[in-house]
Amino acid sequence: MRFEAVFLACYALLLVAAAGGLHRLGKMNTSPWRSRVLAGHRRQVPGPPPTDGTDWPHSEAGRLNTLVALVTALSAVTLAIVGLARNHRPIEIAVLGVVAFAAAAAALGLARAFTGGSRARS
Amino acid sequence: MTPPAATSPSRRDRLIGRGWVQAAVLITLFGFFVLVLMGYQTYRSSPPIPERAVTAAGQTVYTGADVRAGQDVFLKNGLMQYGSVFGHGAYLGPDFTAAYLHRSAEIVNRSYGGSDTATRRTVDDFKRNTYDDKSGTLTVSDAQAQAFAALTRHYAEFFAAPEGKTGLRPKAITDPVQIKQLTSYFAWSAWAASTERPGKKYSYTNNWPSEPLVGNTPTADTVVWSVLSLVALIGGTGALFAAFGRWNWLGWHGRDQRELRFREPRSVPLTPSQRATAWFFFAMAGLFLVQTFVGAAGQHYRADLESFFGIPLDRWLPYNLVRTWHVQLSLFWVSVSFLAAGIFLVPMITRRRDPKGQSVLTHLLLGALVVVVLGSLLGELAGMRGAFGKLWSWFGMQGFEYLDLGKFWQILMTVGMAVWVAMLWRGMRHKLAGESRSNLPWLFFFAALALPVVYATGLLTDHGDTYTITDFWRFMVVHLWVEDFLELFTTVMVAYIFVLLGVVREKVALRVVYLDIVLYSAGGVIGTAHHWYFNGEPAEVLALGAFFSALEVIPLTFLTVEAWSFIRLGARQESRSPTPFPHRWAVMFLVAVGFWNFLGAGVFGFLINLPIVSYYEMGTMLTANHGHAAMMGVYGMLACGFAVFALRYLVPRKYWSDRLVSISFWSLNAGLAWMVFVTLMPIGLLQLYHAVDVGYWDARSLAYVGNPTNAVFEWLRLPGDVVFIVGGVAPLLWLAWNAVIHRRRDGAGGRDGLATQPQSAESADAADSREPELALFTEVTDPGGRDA
Repeated sequence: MRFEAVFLACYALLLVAAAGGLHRLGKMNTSPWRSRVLAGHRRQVPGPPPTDGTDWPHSEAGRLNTLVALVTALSAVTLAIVGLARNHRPIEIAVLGVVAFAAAAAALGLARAFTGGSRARS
Repeated sequence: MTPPAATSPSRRDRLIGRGWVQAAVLITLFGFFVLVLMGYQTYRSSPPIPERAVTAAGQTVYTGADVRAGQDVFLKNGLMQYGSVFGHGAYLGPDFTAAYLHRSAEIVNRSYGGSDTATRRTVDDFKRNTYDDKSGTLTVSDAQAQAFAALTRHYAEFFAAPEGKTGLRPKAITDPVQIKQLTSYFAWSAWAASTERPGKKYSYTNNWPSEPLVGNTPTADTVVWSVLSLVALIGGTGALFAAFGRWNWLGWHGRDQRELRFREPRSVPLTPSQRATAWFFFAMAGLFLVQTFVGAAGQHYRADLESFFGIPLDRWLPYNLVRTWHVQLSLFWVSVSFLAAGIFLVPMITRRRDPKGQSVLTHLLLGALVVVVLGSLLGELAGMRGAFGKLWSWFGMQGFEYLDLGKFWQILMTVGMAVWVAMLWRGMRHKLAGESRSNLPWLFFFAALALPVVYATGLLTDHGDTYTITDFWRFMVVHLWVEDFLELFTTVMVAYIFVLLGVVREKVALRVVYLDIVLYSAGGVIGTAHHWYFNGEPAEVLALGAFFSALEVIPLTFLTVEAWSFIRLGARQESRSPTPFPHRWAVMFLVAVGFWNFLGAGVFGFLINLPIVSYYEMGTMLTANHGHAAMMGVYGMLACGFAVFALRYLVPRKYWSDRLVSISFWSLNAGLAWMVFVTLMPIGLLQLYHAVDVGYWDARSLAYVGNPTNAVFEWLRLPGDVVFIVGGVAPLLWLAWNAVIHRRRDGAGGRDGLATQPQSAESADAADSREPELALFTEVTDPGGRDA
């Protein structure tokens, strides 16, 4: 595999992983009260009433994470496809093809999550 | 913690423990003490400019006057917005220090025969410091003199190229005298970058740039302080988390027991000065739009140096001009929003009417800003084309990146900010008179006052000084003003807005502000030195910069952790208030600020902060990656957030559209993420790899920057930029325009109109006794229903 193909495959995979992490972070209804790291908050401050994940601005803040994750995954799809268009050795096609497929699947899921959040709000 | 104490009978009590105030003052003083020491070192240890560089036979190669004049040619032609010297400047053109060093080393090596012996002799030629301090004479080898002559011819061809295609104007510099002066400047910078500092085994630039031909490799300081910098980061972050775990009162906490009723924006009275800010926000959005257009033009040069879709853009708008405008406008539009937000907030803080003439002053300030913006941008255009004669640095292109505007415009800008502070004082003086100087109103005023004061230090940047000294003062603006004091002002503004909204108690906001001052003063002030690793400062400055700038990431981590509590506060109040929260999208912009603060400033900033990384990375697209994600992601989003906050009151309900703001919000974030992930970061990573693998000078060459792989990445940026401009900026401009044209459709509580307060009294003092407080946008009540 040529350097450009290796770089694009690795970078696109990194973006897919980052997209997954960002989306996961956005879904988490975390807070200092729930955090294990910041146990002092739980110990000394009475917890606020529970917040539903669909409450504003949790819902929108989570959507910001999902949007950035979606853009990240779309970037991975684009870069993998561009890599495929410029690198045609069998191994390059195989690797970049798999990466493009994984990135596309991630992008599709994230697009659903983003638009689903929008519908839920309306 | 010492309990709060009264400061004077007539003033409100200090709301925060004395220890916080003392810690903030002491740490700030310590930071500035070290900064002044570094300034002293800068003047003492910067590389000297020899009176003359001569061969052993006594033939003059260049003079000190040539070097100084060369620096002027470099600046007035905007070459710092094209390429760089000592790694500082723009990213399209080469780094002239590294390029000169490599090319001259190759010539010297060839003239010595090109063997291993020749390589050792070349290293000795460049490393041995032959500068005689007493006579001011630098003795260079014949081979180096030959290299100088060859490179003078090279630069004559490069800068006078009739066909352009370099990003510069065709025939940009044709005068042979200027070419020789410019080459002398590059030669001097290459000498400082390679010859050993007296008594040391490394060069004036701590052996930057990496250049095996002259024996330039990372120094022990560069490596060791990178490691210690990591220790500072990990230790500091651990200490922060430990503090949060130990003291539960740190950070944002809400008004636990009180209930809020948000007023509808149309029922909130606006003063004439507040209504005048509609023009500011319109100017802000307009400047933002222009900034994106010139940014797109600059980006096109990176994708295709040949032409702009068949149009020879470089004849009228060369790269160095559009980048100058792009950088200047980024400061202008963000500043306009901050100034307007300050003016808008004052009546809300004081709950008083405008003092007499405040609205007129607001309009005058806007006029002055328009004059400075237009005057400086046109001055840069004319200055690059040789206008203004000896006054080029006053009215034309002063030429220091981020301080490109002529000194005259720079002074006007400083005066404008001082007038703005005076306006805030006029509006707040009654409120301030009754407050402890440690409380939020005074902190708001002090943070505002710091802006013109710190910006004014940039006036000490003088084109006649040695580069290292000019860079010291330049970074007072680029780092200290932008990264520290704007950040402080931002924190105070956001804290105050949340207090006014009733979301947090003043005491909590004060603690956050003081913690911010302590953390930023510890890291940010001394951390300014992370820009000076390799620009001619001594190794001590590198050490201080590396260690303390690592601490800058800690407050960013704090902000990210706190962003969740911050968001939660809004959610709780939204669910309790019987009326809807009017600032959903302003808060969303603040959420975006938190996100980009951590990613753009924290992650991408620290990525390039270690001296050993910076050694290879400086001036590559990873710097642009950090710059865009942090500047737009943090200050840009914040400026938009302030605008949306104010526009919510300025635009009548009939013309307001939450949908437009939401489109703008999502488009700005999506466009910025695309820009970063598709173009800036991959290109930056590839360029860094190339700099380590092949050589820094080559990674910064036009041939490398324009290679086919890079071109693909650059073109791929286009869709994201379109989304950013069309979906992100245009809606803001439309809303701001609506604020301008409909701002006079007043009438308190009137249909579709804006509520207003009566005209200002003849004398604020006379009105003081009978003036009712202005209604705020939030009513705070305790659980029993009593108004708070």
